Amino acid sequence: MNAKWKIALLAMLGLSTAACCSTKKSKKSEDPQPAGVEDQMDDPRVMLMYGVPFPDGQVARPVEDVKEAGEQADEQAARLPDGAIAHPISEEEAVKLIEQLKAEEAARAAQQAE
Amino acid sequence: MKGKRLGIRKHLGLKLFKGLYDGVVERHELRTLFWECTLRCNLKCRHCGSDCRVDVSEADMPLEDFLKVLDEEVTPNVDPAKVLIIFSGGEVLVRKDLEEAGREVTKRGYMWGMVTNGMSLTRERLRSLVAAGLRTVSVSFDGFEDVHNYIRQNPDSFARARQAVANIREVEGLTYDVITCATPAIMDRLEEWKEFLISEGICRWRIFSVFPAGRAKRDETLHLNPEQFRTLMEFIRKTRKEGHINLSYACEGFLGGYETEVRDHFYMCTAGVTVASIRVNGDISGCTSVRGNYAQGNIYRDRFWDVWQNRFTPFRNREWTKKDECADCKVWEFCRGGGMHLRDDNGKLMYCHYNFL
Repeated sequence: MNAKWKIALLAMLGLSTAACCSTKKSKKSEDPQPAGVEDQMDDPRVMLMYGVPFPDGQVARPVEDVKEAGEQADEQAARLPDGAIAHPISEEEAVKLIEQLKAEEAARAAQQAE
Repeated sequence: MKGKRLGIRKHLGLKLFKGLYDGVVERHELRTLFWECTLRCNLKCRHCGSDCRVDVSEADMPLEDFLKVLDEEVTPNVDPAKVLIIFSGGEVLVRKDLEEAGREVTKRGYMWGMVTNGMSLTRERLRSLVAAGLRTVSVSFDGFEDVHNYIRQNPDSFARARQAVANIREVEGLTYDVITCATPAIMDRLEEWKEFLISEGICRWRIFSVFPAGRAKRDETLHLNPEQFRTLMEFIRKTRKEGHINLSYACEGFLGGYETEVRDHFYMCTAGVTVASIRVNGDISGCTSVRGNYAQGNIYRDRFWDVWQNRFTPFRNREWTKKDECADCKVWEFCRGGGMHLRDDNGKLMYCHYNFL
């Protein structure tokens, strides 16, 4: 009986999580799958007596640094005349916005021509 | 005896798991690598398994020696993203170059973590370690002030450990847990201790009990009796069902009917199967809690990867443990003679969790 059958039978017994754990596939440059999208069953990570828990997947940062990053982003934001805050946008977002404005302008011109 | 007995469902599950475990052994993929970087320690805990001392004759392993093994033997043969490196001691924070070590292993694509008594884990030190790539940390926290300080033999140790945990909680994304060594002194106050940990904002907790090695061997104040051990198992089972804190019993030994009730997984000793350690003197072994004479080689004499691939037979084929009380044991097929750390130099079993239940 191969491992998949055993895991399936363990799942029927309600014990699958005791025998394996679900992990995310790591990203490799030649891998066509985007990172973290495909679950796979893996050997269980045993919590060792003198060990540490397996990292949750995030990169650790002191909370203050996280706040500072947020504050810096706010500083970069410009205040508009109506009091609203304009945040800096990416190049991609800028292209989309320009296209949207162009479309609106074209629609207005067409309306006027009618 | 209710908790000890295996029901049909678990018996079947363990039978199936046995085959999966054989596959894990056959593959023996290295997933955790301990680096015992020092035996120096700033405490003299009563239960210390490593019997480390403040002044040790064994010098710290130079960082470059460890990195040489990593670069020449480990990295070419593994996916670093899948291997967790654990800095272990002694007390790792006594090493001044821990940040440099962390940066070097992070640079190579490994995740790393450490176990600490928290004595010198100030906010500043923690921040510099996080900047060096620290991803996961465990802090020893054995009970209320009187209990913790008695075990740690230092009047400031509780306050320092508590502050260390508070500092850790200030770091977003840092995985952590606290480890409690269950001794008779905490047994009557387990519920209270649990409430305290929850009130401190701690969400992951691990408990282990003392096994007869190192200093703990002769100290009766540290050993649970069978009734206390069963009470501990029931407490863990109940706490896990409540779901207010993620509690597990450590890997230790086979627990009969408590299997999957007090831990997330079935029992298996992964020492030498997915876990290796490089000891302070260069010895290559399973996990650092294995204190018997089971070194499989030494980095100053042998090629680490050759040792990992071709030795470790006593760890991977446990037939030799089928002797003495294990010879006719009906659960040997599931526990395979217990953890390697429970065997003395002569291979004799020092402690059986299953029989203790």
